[in-house]
Amino acid sequence: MDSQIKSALDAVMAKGAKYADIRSSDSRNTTITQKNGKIEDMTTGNSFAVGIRVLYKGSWGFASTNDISELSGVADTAFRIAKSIQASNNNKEIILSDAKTIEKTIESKYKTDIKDVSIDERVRFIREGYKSATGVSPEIKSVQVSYSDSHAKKIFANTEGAYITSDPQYFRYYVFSNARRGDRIEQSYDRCASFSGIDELIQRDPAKIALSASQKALKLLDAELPPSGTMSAILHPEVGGVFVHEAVGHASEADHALRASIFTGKLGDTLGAENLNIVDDATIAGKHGSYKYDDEGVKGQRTQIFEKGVLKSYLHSRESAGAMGVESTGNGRAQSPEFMPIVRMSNTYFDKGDMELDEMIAGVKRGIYMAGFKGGQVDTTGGTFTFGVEYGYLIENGKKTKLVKDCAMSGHILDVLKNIDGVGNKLHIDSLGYCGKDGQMAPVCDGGPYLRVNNLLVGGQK
Amino acid sequence: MIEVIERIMRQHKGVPLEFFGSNHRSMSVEMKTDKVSSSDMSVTKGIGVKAIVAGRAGFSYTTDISRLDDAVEIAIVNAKYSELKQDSFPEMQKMKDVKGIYDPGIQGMAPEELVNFSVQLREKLKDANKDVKVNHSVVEAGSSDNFLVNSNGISYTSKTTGMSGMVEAVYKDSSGGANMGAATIKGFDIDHMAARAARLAVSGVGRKSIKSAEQTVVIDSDVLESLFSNTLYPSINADMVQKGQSSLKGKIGQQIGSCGLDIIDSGLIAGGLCSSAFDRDGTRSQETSILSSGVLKSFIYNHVTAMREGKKSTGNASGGFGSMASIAPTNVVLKYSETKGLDKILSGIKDGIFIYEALGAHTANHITGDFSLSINKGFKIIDGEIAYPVKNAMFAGNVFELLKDVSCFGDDVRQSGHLIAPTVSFSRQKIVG
Repeated sequence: MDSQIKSALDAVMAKGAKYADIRSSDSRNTTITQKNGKIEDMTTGNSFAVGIRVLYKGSWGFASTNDISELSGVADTAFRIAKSIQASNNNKEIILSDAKTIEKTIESKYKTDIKDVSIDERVRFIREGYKSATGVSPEIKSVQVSYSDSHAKKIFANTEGAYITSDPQYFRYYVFSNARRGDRIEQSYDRCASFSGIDELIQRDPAKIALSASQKALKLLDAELPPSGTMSAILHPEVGGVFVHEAVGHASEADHALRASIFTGKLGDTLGAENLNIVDDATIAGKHGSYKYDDEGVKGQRTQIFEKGVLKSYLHSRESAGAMGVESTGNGRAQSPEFMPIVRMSNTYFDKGDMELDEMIAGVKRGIYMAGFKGGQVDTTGGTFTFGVEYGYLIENGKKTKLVKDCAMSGHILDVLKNIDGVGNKLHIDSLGYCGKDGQMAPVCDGGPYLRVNNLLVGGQK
Repeated sequence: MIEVIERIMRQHKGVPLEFFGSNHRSMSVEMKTDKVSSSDMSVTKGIGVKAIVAGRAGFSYTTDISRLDDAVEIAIVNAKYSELKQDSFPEMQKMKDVKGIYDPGIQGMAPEELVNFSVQLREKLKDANKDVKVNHSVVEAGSSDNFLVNSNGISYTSKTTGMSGMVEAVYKDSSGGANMGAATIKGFDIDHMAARAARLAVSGVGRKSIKSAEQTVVIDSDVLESLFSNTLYPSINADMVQKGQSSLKGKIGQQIGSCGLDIIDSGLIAGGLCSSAFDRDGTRSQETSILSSGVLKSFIYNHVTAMREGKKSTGNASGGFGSMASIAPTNVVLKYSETKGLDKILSGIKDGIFIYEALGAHTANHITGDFSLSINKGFKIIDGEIAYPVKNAMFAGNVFELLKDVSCFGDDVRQSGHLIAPTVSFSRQKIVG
């Protein structure tokens, strides 16, 4: 494989390419899905994929295959694509920011190697979760537990001499619980996932994760629909984290900022109060969005996006950094070798402030406390965002009162940044998720402290 | 390939096996700020194997054809742990011919041709208004050669092609988008995309806030498709129904929509984006009435879920080689008793809102149908005319209530994802300003 990769890279350079890189991954993946106590899906497979990215003057060509014997042909196609775009389009030369040339073999050390976990043990994680999720109440009517893991051999090589191999392992464990009372059905979930080995699942205990999913679903049975309108909101760290990710993180991705994002041309501008501090950090140990090197061979790092209300930095790949004359922030990530790396977040969070949660709630006359993330979306050009939360509480005269569910918040990013008037004093960076962008998924994590936002548009069904 | 599979089936005589192979080739061209920025080509090949042991199904897959023997062994081991009941695979059926789903011009398309589509899209936007820019566009062409072989003697092959495109155009501080999908080059209507994106971008300048009120809502089929994908489609999925995760459970035969509303799932539509001769199980495609005059008629099934109810599959097995068949709609056709030209619909509205783009459909509650959308591109309708673009408004409601609140269908039928529908107006909806 080593020699095939090197000769493919040499071949495109000989034709006149300016730069090329190859990524490959050979993985063994197992998925077990249990629905209502029965294992309905038991899938094991092996996936190989190799992708080559070729830069010719101002144009990229990219091609991938899952047949290694096609690598040289695919490399040639990638070069032809780049050249044909350049010919018809005459793009301005792409400058890649400088990157250290790294030759390294990353050997991960795991207390328990996923390869040594038997099928019986994997099935046990599922059965324990199911027992715990259903045992809590007869109102839990259906439970889905899924477990999947993979271990891979990955290679990154480029025409600058970088050659990084790694052997990542990954698992994820999800429990979805449905509670029913009369005609009313509510669903909730909890999960655990990690690149740091299976020990995290054993430590967190599948039974406890499952119990938490069921308890949340049961709680929702008593929830009312929330009111609509403009009000003050206290955002749970999970919700605040999603706001940071969706509304601030995406707009600060330099590929967006280079085209038309609400942060375009605003580096150095004051867009919020002193308490607005936002960070993207790939180096926090064991988090869902952490990595040693990105998919361009650049070391993962900590980037301060906002500092004291001032927009300090965008998130960069080598291409966006080159275009703006700065260094890559190590945010060039790809879902797999079958995709080109693009600018992605890692672990993104709002940095802590100095308020106690009680103090923040006490200052709200009429408002809403929002928790449990249900998905979000943002228009980085126009600046509007929306996302849903699973549940919350009304706040009346400084006190948390009725439980509400299924509400959404929406607004304009720049307005909301100015309306944050309370930042909690404890950091929680645990909200693991998968971020979708340009058709690619990336594991990320986000969080922060509790946040208080004034004049937030809340949309409920009531 | 078939010889290898036949040899393996002989070696495992007595173990029912199913092989689904796919060779998918696709190419895409991406444009950013008016310039073609990248293009890629991919080849994805692989085979999925399902084995039935003692009435239980196990699954495995490989992207490396030389490891197919191993994959079969693993599928047999997995079947021993699996509790997915399956006694048999589908039997041979006579196929119906589905027209307009393969275009050799797409399968053999050169990168230069696809780049040209992308450039044309930009030029047509400029023709509409010279100050409109492409913020982002993607044009894709793909072809799939699939086969399905099972121990019941089925050995089917299929060839399908497709083109798709999205564009986000910008004009001053406003943006407007368009999506397009077609199975053939001829159906890929760049003019339509460019005209719509330019019109929405230009007319989006000068947005105004609105007050919360109940009013008539006119929805573009793209918005309806994104809402249905997250609510209606999971609710008619037999697997969800059987697991108690659909609020439509037990409602077959009941009135759940407007009297004039029909919803049909059909994999046989000529030129349909989701048409095919057979599904992922090897069941031939068919037409299934989901809603007839507002009455719920059927859910959609694959082979396994149909067997559980002693029914026949509706041909809705879906998925690639890397997983067992799931369930998905094919083409979903919406029909309504009252259809008018778009102008006529607008002229009948005193107070309303026209929604072209909305964010947040994926946060809808698929069981209850409750949704809350942020209106990204919407226009206020006053006294029968588009008055101005709106800002910071939300549309909150319930999809199952929407089905009852249909007021009128437009005549601009097109396909967006699964959905084949025109613009639809709904009375008395809640808009939060």
